[in-house]
Amino acid sequence: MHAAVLMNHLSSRAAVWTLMSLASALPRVASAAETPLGAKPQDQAAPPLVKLVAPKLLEDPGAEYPRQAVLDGIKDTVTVVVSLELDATGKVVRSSVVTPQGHGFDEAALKAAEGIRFEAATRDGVAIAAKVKHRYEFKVPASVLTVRVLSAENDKPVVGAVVRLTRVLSPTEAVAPEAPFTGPSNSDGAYPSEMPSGRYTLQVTAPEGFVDPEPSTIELSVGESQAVLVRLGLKVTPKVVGSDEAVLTVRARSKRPAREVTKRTLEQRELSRIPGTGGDALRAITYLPGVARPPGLAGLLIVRGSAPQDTTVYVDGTPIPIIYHFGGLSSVIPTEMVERLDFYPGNFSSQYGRAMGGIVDVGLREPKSDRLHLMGQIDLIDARAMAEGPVGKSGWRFAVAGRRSWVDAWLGPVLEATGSSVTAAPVYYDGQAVLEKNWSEKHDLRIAFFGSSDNLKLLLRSGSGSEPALTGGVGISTSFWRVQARYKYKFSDATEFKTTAAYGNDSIQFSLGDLSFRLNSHPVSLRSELTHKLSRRVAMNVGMDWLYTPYDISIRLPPIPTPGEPPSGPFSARQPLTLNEGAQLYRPALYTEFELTPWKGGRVVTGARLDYSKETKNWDPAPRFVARQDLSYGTGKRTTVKGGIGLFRQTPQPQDTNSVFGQSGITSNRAVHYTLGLEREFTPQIEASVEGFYRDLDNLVVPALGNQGSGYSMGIETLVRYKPDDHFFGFLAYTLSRSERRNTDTDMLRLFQYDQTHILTATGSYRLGKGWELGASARLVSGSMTTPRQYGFFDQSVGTYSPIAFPPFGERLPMFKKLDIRVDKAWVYKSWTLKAYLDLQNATNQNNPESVSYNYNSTQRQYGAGLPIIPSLGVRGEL
Amino acid sequence: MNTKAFVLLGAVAALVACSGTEFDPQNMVQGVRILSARADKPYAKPGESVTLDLLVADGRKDKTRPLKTMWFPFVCANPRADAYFNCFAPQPGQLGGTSSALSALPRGIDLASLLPNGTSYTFTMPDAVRPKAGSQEPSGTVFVFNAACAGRLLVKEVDPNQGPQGVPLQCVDEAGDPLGPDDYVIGFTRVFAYTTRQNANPAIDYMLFDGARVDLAAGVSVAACKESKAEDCPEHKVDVVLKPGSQELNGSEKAADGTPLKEVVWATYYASAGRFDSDARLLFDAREGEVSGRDNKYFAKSEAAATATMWVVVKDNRGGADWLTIPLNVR
Repeated sequence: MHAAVLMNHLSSRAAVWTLMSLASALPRVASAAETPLGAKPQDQAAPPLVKLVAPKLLEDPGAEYPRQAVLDGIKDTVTVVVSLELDATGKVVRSSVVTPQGHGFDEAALKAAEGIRFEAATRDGVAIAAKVKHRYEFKVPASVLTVRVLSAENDKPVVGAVVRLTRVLSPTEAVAPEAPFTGPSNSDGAYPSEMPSGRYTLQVTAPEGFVDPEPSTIELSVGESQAVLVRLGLKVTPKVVGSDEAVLTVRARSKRPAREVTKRTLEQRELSRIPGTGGDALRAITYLPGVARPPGLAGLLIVRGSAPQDTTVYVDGTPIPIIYHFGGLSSVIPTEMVERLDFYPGNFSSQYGRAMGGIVDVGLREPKSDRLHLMGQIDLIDARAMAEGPVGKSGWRFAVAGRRSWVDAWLGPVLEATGSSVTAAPVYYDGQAVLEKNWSEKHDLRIAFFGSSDNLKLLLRSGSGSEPALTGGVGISTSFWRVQARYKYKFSDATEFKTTAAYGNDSIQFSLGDLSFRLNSHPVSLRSELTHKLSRRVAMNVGMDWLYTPYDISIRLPPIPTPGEPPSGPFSARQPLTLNEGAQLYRPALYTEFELTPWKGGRVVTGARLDYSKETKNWDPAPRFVARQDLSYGTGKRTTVKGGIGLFRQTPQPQDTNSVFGQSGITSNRAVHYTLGLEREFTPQIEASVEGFYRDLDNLVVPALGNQGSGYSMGIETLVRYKPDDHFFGFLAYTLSRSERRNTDTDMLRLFQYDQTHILTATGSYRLGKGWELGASARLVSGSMTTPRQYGFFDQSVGTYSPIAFPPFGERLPMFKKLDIRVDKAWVYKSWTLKAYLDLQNATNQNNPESVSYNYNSTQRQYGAGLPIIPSLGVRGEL
Repeated sequence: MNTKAFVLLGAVAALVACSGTEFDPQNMVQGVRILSARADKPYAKPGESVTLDLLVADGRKDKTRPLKTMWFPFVCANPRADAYFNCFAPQPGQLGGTSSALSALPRGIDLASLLPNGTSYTFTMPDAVRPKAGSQEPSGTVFVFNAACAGRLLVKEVDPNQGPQGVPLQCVDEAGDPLGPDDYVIGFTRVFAYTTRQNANPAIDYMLFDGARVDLAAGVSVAACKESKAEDCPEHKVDVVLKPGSQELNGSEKAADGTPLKEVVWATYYASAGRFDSDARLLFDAREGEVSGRDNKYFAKSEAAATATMWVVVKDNRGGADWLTIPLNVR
C-alpha cells in the first residue's frame, strides 16, 4: 500500500493541502523505494513485515499569497505541489516544486516549506529519513472593507445605519447578480465585511434624524484592508433650549487615498472654532505646519519659506488675486460658504501650476436641499447674511451670502482725530452665490459667483520725518469677482469629465501723493480634466489649465529695488517711472497624471505638466512624482511612509516682464521640491505626521539682474492631531525651517526675509455641555526678520536721513508669544439657533515686538509692539 | 475691540503718522544738522552752471570746536539704479567718478584744507541726459556730496559690515577719535538733468505765527514752558504762505486715472528750542492743489530762556526748495 497520508491544513492566508508519501532514505528503505511501498517483489522471498509509519505534520506556518499574483490579477485557486526530503529528525532538508505555476506561487510555496516541521517517519519504530509531497492551495485572499458611519456634526459613531455594498460587475464577468453585502453599523458606527476585491457601490440608509448620503463607489484591491468614513448630516429637528448640539449638514463622502505627499484638510468644526482666528476659516491656514506667521500686520501666506506670491489661492480651481481683506482682517470667502479647505504646502499635483510655493484650494459649499435656511451674524467688524435652500421643485438649489464691514462707522472719527481727512472710510464687501443642480447621477452643473471689494481713501496732512513727501491723498481699492460654471459628466464608473470655466474682473488701484497704480483685468480661465481608470490599479488624469487675461495698467511708481540691496533713498526721493499699456497674459497648460496602485497599500502618482507663457515665450515642462506606502492597515492603525520629488515652475510676475519696470529675456522661476514623511494613525481620533522638506530654488528673477537668483528652504514639520469627536478637537504643530536666498551665484546666501526658524502652535477646543464650548490656542514663533539701521547720509533733496540699512533682513525680532481663548455658547430653540462667541486674542496681553522703530537719524531704536489683548464678540442666528 | 479693528487701525495709523513718538522728533535741532539744500536750477540743462546752497544749523550746546562745511568738487552722474551709494561702488565703469576721486584724496589729512568750504558750491551740469524707459523724456541724475563737520574730516576705509551704503568718510576730534552724529553730517544733493523740462523752486512769501505775519528780522518771541510734556504747553499755530505759482504742473505727467499731476509741496519745520507737533505738513497735494488745515503747532517747551532759531523749509517733490530762518526768543 502506499504509505501516504493526506492532510488538510488551513493557514491564515490560504488553505494548504498536504500530500505526503513516504520513501526510503536508508539503504534498506532506498532499495524498497524502487518499487511502490508495500508491493511484493516477485523474485525474492517475502521479507519480514516492516512497520512503516509516515511522517506526521507538526507545524506548517502556511504560504503567503504572492504579491506578483495580485499584480498579475490571478483570480482562480492555484495548487502547487512540492516535494520535501526529510531527515531522521523530521526536518526538511531539501524541497522542490513538482507542479510549477509561476506568478510567484512556486517561490511562495518553497519559502513556506522551509518552516514546516514533521515528526520523523519510523521504520519498525526507528526514525528514518523520508520523502513526502506537500500541496499548497492558494485561494484569492479576501479583502476587508470597514465602513464607519459618523455624525457629520461631531464625528460621533452612528449606530443602526444600514450599509449596503453592491458589487459592480464588468461586462466580462458573470451577469448573474450577486447578493450585496449589507448590515447595520455597530456601536462603533462600523460595518466590517470580508469580501472579494472589486468595485462596489456603497449605499448607506441613515437612521432616524439623519440625512441619507449620496451613493459612492469604492475600489477594493486584492487583500486590501480599507476603511471608509461616511459622515451623515443631521436632519433639522426641534431641540430644547440649552442643548449642546448644533444643527449642521455636511455631505457624506468617502475618504479617497491622498494623491499628494501632504494634503492638509481642515474640517468644518475646526475651521470655524479655532481660537484666535475670529472664526475665519482661511485664517486658520496660518496655524498649520509649514505656514509662517506673517510679519507685523500683513495678510500674507508664507508657505515653507516661500515668498507670499509663490502661493496661489483657488476657489474650486479658479485662481483669485487676494485671500484676505485689508491685509489679513478677514478672508474674502466667509466660513459659512466654505465646504472644505485643502492646503498643499508642497509637491502638489500636476493639476496645479504657475506656483512654486503652496496651493490653497477653497471649496464652496453645496447648497442645502431640504428647506430654506437663513443665517445672520454681526460682530464688531462686519455684518453678514446668508440664505440657502431649494428653488421650488425644480431640482435646483441655491445659496447666497453677503458681508459688509462697518468699521467706517467708528474708524472714520478715529482717523479724523489723527488729523486726516477721511474721504472714504475703510469698508469692505464680499458676496457669494451658488446655484446647483444634479441632473442625474451622470450630470452635475453648478454656477457660482464670488467677489470682494476693499476701499479706503484719506487725505494725509502730516508727513513723517522720514518720508515727508508721502503725504496727500491716499487711496486703496482692491476688488475682484468671478462667475464660475462647473460641469461634471460621468461617462461610466471608470471615466469622468470635469470642466470649470470662469470669467471675472480684477481691479487694483492705489495712489499716494503723485504716485499711483491702477490695474484692471478680465481673467478668463478654463480648467478641464478627464479621469479614466485604465485598470483596477491604474488611473489616468489628463487635463488642461488655460488662463487668458487682457488687462490695462497704469503705473507711476519708482523703480523696483533689487532684493537685498538698500533703497536708493527715501521712497519719495526716487524718480517715478510711468507705464501705460494694454496687453494680455496668455498662459495655457496641459498636464497628465497616472495614479498607480501597484501593490498592497502602495500608491504612486507620477505626472507632468507643460506650461506656456506669452510673456516669456517659453514652454516650461514640470515632471512630478509622489509615492505612498501603507506599512500597516486597519482603522486607527494605519502607518504610511510617503515621499515626493517634483519640478515646479513659476512664471515671472507681470512687473518682472513689462517694458518699464521689468526686464526682457527672463524665464520662469524654478523650484525642485523634495519631501519625505511618515504618517501614523494611532486611534481613529489621533494621528501624527512628520515630514521633512527641501526646496532647491534657482533661476529666480531678480530685478535688473535677470534669472540669477537662487536659494533654498528646508525644514521639518510635525503634526499631532486629535480629530473632532463628541467633545474635543485639537492639534499640536511644530515646524523647524530655514530659508536663504542670493541674487547671484557669487553672492553669499542670506536669510530670506520670511524665514522663521521655529513655529509652534497648540490649539484645542472642548465642549462642556449645555451649549458651552471653551477653546485655546497658543503660539510660539521665531520673530520676523528686519533690517537693522545705522546713522548714514543725509538726503538733502528730501530733507531726511538715508540710513545705512544693512545687512538686509539681517536681524531677527524676539520670539512671538500669544495665547488666545475662545468661548462659544449656543442656544437652540424650536426653529432657530442663536450662537455667541467671545474670542479673546492675546489673552495674556503679551507685548510682542512686531517691528523696530528708529528715530529720525537712526541713532536710537525701540521695538514696535504688536496687538494688545483684544476681546472680539460676535452673535449669530441660524434658521 | 476686535482684532480686525486693531489691525486696520494700526495699518492706517502707520500711514497717518510714523510711530516712535518716544524719540525726540526730527524738528528738534540739538546738534549739527544740514536741513536742506537748494539748487538755483533744480532741473538743469547739460553745460549749465548750477549753484547749490546749504541750510546748516548748529544746535550744539558746546561749540568750542568750529563747524566747517565743505563740498566734494566732483559730481556723480547716473549711478546704477540712481542710488547714491553706487557712487562708491567698486565697479568704476558704472560711476560718475566719485569713487576714484575719493580714493585720490590723501589719508589722514583734514579734508577741510583741501575741499571747497562754505555753504555754496557751483558746478557745471555734465552731459548726463540719457533715455530712460518709463520716463517721458530723457533725463539724468547728478549727485553732489558735502559735509558739515565740527572736527576734522578724514577719508576712511568703508566698513564692510555696513554694506554698500558704508560711509567712506569720518569726522574726528583733535585726538582722532570719531565724533558722534550730533557733530557731523555727510550728505548729498540730487540735481536733475533735462534738455527741455524746467522746474522753479517754490517761493515762500511769509510765515504766520499765532496768526500774525512774522517779521524775519525781529523773529518770534514766546514764553518758555516748563511742563514735562510738550503737549501740555500752550500751542502756537505756525503756517507758511507761498507766493502764487509755487506749485507747478509736473510737466505733462498724469496719474493712473488720467488726472494731470502737479507738484507735491510740503513744509518741514525745525527749532533749536521747543518743538513742533509735526515734522512736516502738506501744503499742496498733487491732485487736490492747496490743502486746508495745513498749519503746524509749536510748543515752547524749554527749561530756561534761550535765544534760538526756527526754520521752515518748503520743498517740492522735484528737487525744488526754499526756506526761512527766524530768530526765536524763548523768554
